[in-house]
Amino acid sequence: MPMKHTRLNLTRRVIAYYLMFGLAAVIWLAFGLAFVARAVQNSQSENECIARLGEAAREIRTTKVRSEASLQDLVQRLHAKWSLAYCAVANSDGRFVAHSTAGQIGTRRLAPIGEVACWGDILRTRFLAEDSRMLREYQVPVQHGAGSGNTLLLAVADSGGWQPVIVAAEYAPAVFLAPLLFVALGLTVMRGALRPIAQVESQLQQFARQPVSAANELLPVAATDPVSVGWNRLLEACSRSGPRDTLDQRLGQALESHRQNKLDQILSSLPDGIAVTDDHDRITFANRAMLGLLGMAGSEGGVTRGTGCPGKTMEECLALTTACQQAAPLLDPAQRGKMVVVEIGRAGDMSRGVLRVARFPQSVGHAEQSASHVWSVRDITQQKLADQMREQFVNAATHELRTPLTNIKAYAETLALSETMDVEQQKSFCNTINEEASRLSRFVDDLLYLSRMEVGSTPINAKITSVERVLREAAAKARPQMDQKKIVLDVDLPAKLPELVLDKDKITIALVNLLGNAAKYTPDAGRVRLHVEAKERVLQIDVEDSGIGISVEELPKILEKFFRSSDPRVQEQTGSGLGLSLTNEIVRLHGGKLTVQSELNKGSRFTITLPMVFEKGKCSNA
Amino acid sequence: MRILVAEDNAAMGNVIGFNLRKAGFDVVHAVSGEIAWKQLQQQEFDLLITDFQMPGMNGGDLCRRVREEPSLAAIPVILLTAKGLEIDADYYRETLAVSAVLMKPFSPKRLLQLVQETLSFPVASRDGG
Repeated sequence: MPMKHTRLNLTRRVIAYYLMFGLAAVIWLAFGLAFVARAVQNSQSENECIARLGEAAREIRTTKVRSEASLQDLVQRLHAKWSLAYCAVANSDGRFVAHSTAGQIGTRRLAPIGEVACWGDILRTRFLAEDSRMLREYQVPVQHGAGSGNTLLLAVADSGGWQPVIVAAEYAPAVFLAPLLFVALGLTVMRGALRPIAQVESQLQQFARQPVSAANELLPVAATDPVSVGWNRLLEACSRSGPRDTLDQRLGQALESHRQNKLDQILSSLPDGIAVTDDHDRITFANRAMLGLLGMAGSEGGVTRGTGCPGKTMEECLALTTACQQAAPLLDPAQRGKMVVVEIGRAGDMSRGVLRVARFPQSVGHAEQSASHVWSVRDITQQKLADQMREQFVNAATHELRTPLTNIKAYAETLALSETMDVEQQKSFCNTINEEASRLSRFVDDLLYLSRMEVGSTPINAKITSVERVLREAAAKARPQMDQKKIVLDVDLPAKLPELVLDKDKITIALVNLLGNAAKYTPDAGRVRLHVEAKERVLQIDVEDSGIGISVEELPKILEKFFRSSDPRVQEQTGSGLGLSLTNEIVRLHGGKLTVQSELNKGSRFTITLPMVFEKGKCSNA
Repeated sequence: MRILVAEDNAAMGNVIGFNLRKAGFDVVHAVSGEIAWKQLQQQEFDLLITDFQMPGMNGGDLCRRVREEPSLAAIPVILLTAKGLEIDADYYRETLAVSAVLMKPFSPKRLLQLVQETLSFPVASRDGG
């Protein structure tokens, strides 16, 4: 039943229905009873009249009524006996031969007009008499004496059938009071039973009208019936399930969170630092790389939103000050809303690294003073170092190429222009030109060798080689240089050296470089020792000298390309600064290592450690 | 006339010295900036020819020190360099009053010419002295 707009609560509704239908039933029952009583009364009255009619007819037939006077007596007796409206006998001519009203004797009977019913010989007519009474007249043919065709007539007043009902109505208060009492009792019991359900229903109706606000006002019902217990448990379960957000809100949040996570993942995986600042220049977002670059690494999740760098601006995080000239465009108010790219030192210090900082207005094409900005920060320290190294290389190579070239040109031109020059001097000049040309050639060779080896275009041509032979050849090549300075070269080889897979030419170059350096930087009459030891898995070659040594500051740089010590004793010697780099590269390509130990003014020891490779194909060419 | 040649490369120092001596100059060769500085303080020279790239005190440092020393401020200087275009020659000419910057490789004849020009028309302050 649709109850959508009703304001009545469940109890009142149920009681109203209960009363409405109960009353209808009672009324229907009362009417039913009245009709039944009437029908029963009618039926009883009819039967009684027919029985009396029969009795009267029999008495007329059986008694010795011969005269009309005696018939009149009988009629009057019966009339009085049964309280009849009238009682009469009519002859075949329709004239009354006897009548309870004596005045009617001899008069013609007028057949009444009304409702007629017939049961065999008995005829009943229900009609309205002249005195406005409803009468029922019963007639039956009777035999009387010698006369035949007589009709016995007997009439009774008809109550109309409602008399018993009217009589019964007098008892109605008593009859209806008892059901009303039962109804009232039923109402009380029903109301008690319905109260908890009504409370639940009332709360649900309120919830249906205001789902969000009413959600927090749902109250448990204080009853122990199953509905109340179920309701209370439902509330408990809801309160346990956390914030009572609506489903669409939760779904929306989940989708938003998923989208955000995806975006964060992408931004986190970028190698460049990305940050967003608001109109107060405060950081509202910074990805993982940015946190690392700003020295805030370790923040959970890698992506910061708002709270990661609370209250900080990018300028603060980058330690930008007006003292830093490179950072000036970032701090210039006129540059707000424009794209700015600068290179600054990490934490304001160039020696700690170089950062390329780009700042873009977030909404391009808007007002000149854009409120929020996107920042991109990249660490270009390595790139800067590479640039610096390339520049150093070019400078060093230029110097090393120009110096011998300058000498050759100067000597050659002097020779050509000097008309008066003795032969010795000419010879000396020619020797210098030759030496400088050799130096130039050597430098170009070393440079090419080194470059090729570095890019891997000169592979190691390793073959099974006698280590002893390589060592002795290298010593022999270095010996003249030693002899010039009267340096003693001790070659200390073990009795038996293995045959290893080596690139003989390149290892020889490496050894000659080390021995040559030892000769160059060891004073006259010094000592150089070539010591070799075959250990378990490695071959160790030491070149030890009693030379000028290397300072602690310069020792780490000694293997760098073009590095030459600032020691004047080194500077007075010719050299390109490539020899040790080349040696190091050769040893590295053999899978070995070059190490240096040195003490200034006491001497140096260069150690080559090579892995022992006895079979071809197993040489490390890394 | 006395010329001090500061050049770390011995061969270069020799050939410059040979050419200048042949032209009649008195030449002293210093193999480093530091030695040249000492020589300048101890002896009197009419011209300083210095290489730019030297270990320790380089040619630029030597020039600066010479100009800072009042007794040497007027000495003409010729700067030799293998740096080519990487060096800011105008800076040395204008700020340190270097008479000439000569790029390596150079012709000894050109150097001699420059020396003679510099000594014939020395810097104004010297003219005054």
